[in-house]
Amino acid sequence: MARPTPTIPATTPAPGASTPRASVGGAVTWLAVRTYPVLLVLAVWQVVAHSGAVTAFTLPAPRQVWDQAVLGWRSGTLIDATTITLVRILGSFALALAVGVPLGLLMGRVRPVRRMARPIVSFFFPTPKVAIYPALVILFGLGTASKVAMGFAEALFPILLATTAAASQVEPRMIWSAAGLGTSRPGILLRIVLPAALPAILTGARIGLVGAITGVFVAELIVAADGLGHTMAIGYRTLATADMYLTVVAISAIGFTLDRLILATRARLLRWTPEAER
Amino acid sequence: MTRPDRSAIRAAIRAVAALAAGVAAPAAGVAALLLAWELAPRLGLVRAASVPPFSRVFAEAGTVLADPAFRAEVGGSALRWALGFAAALGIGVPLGLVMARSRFVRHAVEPVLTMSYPVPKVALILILVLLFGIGTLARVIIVVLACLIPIVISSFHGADAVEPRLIWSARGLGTSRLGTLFRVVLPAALPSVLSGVRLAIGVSIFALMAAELMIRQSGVGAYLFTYYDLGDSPRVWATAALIATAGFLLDAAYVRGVKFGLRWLAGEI
Repeated sequence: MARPTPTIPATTPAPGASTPRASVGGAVTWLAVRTYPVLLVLAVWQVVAHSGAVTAFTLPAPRQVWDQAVLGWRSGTLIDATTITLVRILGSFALALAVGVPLGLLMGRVRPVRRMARPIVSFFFPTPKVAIYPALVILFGLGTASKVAMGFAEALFPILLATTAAASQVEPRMIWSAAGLGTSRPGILLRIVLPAALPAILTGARIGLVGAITGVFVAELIVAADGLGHTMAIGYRTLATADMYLTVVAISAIGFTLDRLILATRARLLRWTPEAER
Repeated sequence: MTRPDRSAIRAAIRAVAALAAGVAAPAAGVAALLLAWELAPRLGLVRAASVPPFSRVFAEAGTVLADPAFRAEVGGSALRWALGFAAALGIGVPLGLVMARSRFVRHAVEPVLTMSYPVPKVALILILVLLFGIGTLARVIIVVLACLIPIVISSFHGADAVEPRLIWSARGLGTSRLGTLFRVVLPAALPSVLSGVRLAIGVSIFALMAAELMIRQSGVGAYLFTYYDLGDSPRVWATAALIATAGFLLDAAYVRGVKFGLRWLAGEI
């Protein structure tokens, strides 16, 4: 939504936000501001676990979960589960990009395609896709395919809608110029519309990535034979509570790392836009 | 026949053609999808036992709707959703507004949002069950967690973009700080808040369904999973289709409701 930007900034920039300070003190502040939620969670967790308000069974101390992580690391079960989940997330995200971006470009630029696809897309976008998961298991079986399908369903629509919107708003003069200089229609789509829509596509991709992570993990939690979500479901059933907390830490780490990676990719791909300077 | 008549006929033909393109193309898209769903199992492209044809699922959806057990579960799910959603609105909107007006709150909350954004909130469902028991509370909390981030962020962005002069004027005319927040900042930030609420509706239904599919105690999700366990695939597809349609209708009703209720708002939400 286009809103008038305030003439005077309402707040001054954060202390050491976005640009690391040269001084050591600035760097420490910057790091402290950025990482304090993790430290806070650890501190509260430690205090509550030792306060006696909850049993070590419902809330194991951070130390116990750490020991469980070391155990899982040595036996290889933790790495196996993490790898399986990570591969599924990346697979469904790649599939969502491969379908969402071309289809979005077509929907944005080719009117018959947009007209035919719009009612289907606007039906599926707001629906809770997880409700279809049991049907996906019936269709694709218990293995990786049904998890990737779930992650794909969650990741596709943010990417598709962002691409469609951006492709339909490309400055017409750029397209006329390219057409006037003899660029073919597919050429215009690839060399004019795609770069112009790239900032919005990458924003959609960031939202889609969280969708892929959530979709795959939830799928593994509901019905699966392996992966991090399955580790958590088994931990719940066998009352191995330390495993459950470990899984939350692992999937959070995956989510955080992939999100940072996509932000770094975005900054690199958009060096040429004014947006990259922010 | 004179010339003007002919051009009038041409204009009429063009209008009919435009109407046909506007209505027929979307209808053709939907029809192609449903036809593929109908024919794929009938032609043996997929096993009819795992994917029943559309007509079968459509008929089954009527049976599900008439099932008193399903109706009872809908009530329970809707109540849990409404409780969680109301709580998230009550916490999220004021928090987002205060974040935009107070630098301290903003610096305290922003890193938490950045860090928790890529974490799948539904991963916490079973942990919440561990902490709060299998009852209503764990599922309400998961709905709150799921919709908090979109609501807080959109309220914050909306309030952050409010013209400072509006606030100064209100303050200069003697409005209290709290009064300014709710009588100046909130109305100005409303379009952004409403888009956040729309996102939150989708995310929260997802979280509730995921929770019900996992906890399998009660609710529409549990109903769905019972029939999955029984291997009744028409019932599974029909229930899933009904839940999907409900999500779509809720979103559409929200958009229409906002457009009708707040006609002074310009633009999309």
